[in-house]
Amino acid sequence: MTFSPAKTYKNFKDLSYYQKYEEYNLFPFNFKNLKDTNLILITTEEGEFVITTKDKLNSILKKSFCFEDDPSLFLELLNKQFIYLTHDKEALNRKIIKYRTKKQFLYTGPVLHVFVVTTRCQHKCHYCQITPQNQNAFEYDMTEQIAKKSVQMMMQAPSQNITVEFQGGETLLAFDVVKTIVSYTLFLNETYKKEIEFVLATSLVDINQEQLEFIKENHILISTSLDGPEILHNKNRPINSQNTYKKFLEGYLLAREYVGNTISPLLTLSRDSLFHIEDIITEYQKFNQNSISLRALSPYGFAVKTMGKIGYSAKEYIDFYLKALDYIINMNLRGVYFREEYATLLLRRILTPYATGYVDLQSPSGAGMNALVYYYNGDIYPADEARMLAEMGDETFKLGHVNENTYKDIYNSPVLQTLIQDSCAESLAGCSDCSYLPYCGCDPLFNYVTQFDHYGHRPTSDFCYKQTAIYEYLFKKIQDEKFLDIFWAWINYDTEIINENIS
Amino acid sequence: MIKLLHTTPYSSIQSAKVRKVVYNISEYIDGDNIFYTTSDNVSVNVKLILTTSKDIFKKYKNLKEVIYFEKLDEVEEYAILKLELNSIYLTFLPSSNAHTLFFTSRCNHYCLMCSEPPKIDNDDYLIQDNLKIIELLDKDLPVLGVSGGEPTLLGSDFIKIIKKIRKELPQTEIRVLTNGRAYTNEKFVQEIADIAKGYFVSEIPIYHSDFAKHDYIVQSRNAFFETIDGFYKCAAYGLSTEVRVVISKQNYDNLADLMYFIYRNIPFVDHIALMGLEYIGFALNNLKTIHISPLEYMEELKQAIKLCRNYALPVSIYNLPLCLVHEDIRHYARQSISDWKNEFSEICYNCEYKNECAGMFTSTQPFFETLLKPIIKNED
Repeated sequence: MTFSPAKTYKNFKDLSYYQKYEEYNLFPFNFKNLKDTNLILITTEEGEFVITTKDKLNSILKKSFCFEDDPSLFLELLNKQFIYLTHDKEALNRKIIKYRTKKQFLYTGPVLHVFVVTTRCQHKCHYCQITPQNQNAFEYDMTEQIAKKSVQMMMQAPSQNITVEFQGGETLLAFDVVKTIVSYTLFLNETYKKEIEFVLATSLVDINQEQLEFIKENHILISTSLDGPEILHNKNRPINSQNTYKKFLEGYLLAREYVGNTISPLLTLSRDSLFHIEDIITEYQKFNQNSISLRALSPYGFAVKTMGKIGYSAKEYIDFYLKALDYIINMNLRGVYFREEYATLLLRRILTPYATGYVDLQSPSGAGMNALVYYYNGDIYPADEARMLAEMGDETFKLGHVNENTYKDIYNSPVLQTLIQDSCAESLAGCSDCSYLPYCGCDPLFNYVTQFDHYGHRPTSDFCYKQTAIYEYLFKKIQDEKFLDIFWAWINYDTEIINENIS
Repeated sequence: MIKLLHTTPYSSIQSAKVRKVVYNISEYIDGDNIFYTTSDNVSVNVKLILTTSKDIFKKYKNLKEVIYFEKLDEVEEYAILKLELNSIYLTFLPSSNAHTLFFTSRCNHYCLMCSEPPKIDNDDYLIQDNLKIIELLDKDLPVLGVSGGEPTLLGSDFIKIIKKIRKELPQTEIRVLTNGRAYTNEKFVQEIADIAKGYFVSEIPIYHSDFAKHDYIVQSRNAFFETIDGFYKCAAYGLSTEVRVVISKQNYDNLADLMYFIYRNIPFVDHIALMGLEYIGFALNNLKTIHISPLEYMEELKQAIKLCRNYALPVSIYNLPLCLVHEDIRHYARQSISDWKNEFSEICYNCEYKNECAGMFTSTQPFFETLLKPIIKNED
């Protein structure tokens, strides 16, 4: 069969006929020098970024930059909405859609519902953020009446997806409360039909078969504490004079028989941990983990009292954290998949168009808007940190009580309204013009504890110091394809790709 | 005149029930009443006989309506035919792997590589043809394509035909090949969503992340921005969309940027198809401007696939034989070519992957012939 050219009814026009790049305007964007380089990072509020030179930036700002100067940069600026063509009437609309996607978390309502079922605990951890009560002080357990009221309030939240997280104290000491909440939630959900996930935070110490039967039956996920190898774990998490690590291991092995490898250990970093990152990671791998979250200690509760002994400065933390990231990235370069969760969260914000829920780093703050905490006594708080503050005697952030208020009261409470108003990074001094703004957020509680008001003061803020240092590190790395590959493997939990690269 | 849309390569059928559509008198006959046969065994119920046998013709011409053809070897049971003076059009063959309604040959684009060059003649009669064909289609047809030209140019008639498809074939997925510009009209999108949401996928081409290059490739100013706007309107009304990228010399070096653009602007698309050229129609008029061998753009294609994996965007390679796709990304290649224009070369019969291969468009074969290389499993 042969084919020949087709009949035409008009002529084909040249490319130049379609190229109309002449007139453009600027959209708002932020810019900042990338530390230790001559490069400038410019970002839009939707999180698009371009790395360029100071000269180019100047000519863009003066609008003397044109397509012919650097076609690929021009098109990058155009498609990432730093500039728009004056004849393009829908340009703003496309930008709005992008922004809406990035801020999707605003539409969801409270997703995370934390139930503090007791404040009793057998541990006396040095860094504990709350004030643990004696094992026999049963008055510190949530009553059935408070538990059911709390569940009713949770179900009124508009969120379709809900995570019910059980916190303590040691949740196993008040397991009947856990059972009540799970059963009552499932019962009410026959009407509400939400997607519900249960997470039990527990040390796993002295967990028993009956409890595990219930956990398995109700598909409850287990989140536990593992501070590293035996010596470190025991040092951080003492129970009188017993070997806590051994007790944890017993509980862990038993739990694994029931729920398999779905137990997620969480690390708390004490001063001692800073010098043992390699041992800690090896320990995590021993427990079949391919990720770790290296969060810093919070300045709350027990930890404040012992800060001198087990704490560290923001600078010490960052020195440690960035070194740890280097170490972890190198593992991946050698073909071992291992992920750091906090960096993964920030990378997801930098590299994807999607919103990411993370209540401690959102703008406006996720406290209250995306999370609620039901304290054992029925008090409601916008975040775990707020109830810790209350335990220290400061009830500033209390939103109400399950017996006295409705969900609507809580959401419209002056405390929550103010909290939200004061935590829009887009309008805060030191944040609003920062290049990292689209990836960052606010922690008004942290500001309150460390700097005594919701707003905080960026130049002296530890929060800002840490965030900035991590962004600088990540933006340097993502310019190199080999690191970028690893970062995408982290974002997608794609373990295969690391192995493929090595083979 | 209705386009010949479907043919099957082989037919051993000696006699079959077929369905006929006769439009000029708004009539059709179904099943038993029409018969294609070469053997002398015709039941009394049969009203119309199609045959290639002169004997049959002579025997029945005074008893029934009989139409004689010299050659008629692709008819099969329950095919839909359109009969006109001296010609027969195979409109629907049940055994085909792709069924597409041709809405119009008019188009508001004039793509450099168009495989189906548009015409400006009035072809409104196709509307009635299609409405009739829809009534006759098998009710369990999984997928029905809609093509052109630009089918949405029919406007309210487009809606009318979609409505008809939904009514006659409530479970059939409708896949419309469109440039999406009509979707800038929100009312139009809403109407479609009201009728067909959940079963309606628009396959919309974007050829370049530079709006001017896209507009140039489709030969229409403002095409890019309107098409993107169309994607948004579809998403707003819950209509599914796919991106189709035909790879040519004009855009092979832009694939990575294009994937990024899709990811950051329209990440809700269900699928991206990266497609080899079909060397027919305008592709031959503009051969120098658009032709590039797949071997020359393989690195760019690999990079695009890698990005889609990072971006978690479902992606496929269409229209390329497996041996011309790098082995790392071979599993993204699909058997995308409709059976009626699909070819294999002599050399392909030595290939162990022939059964999983898309083969080539009949028209593409001359361009790929010298590049083909049969794949043998476990070469090491």
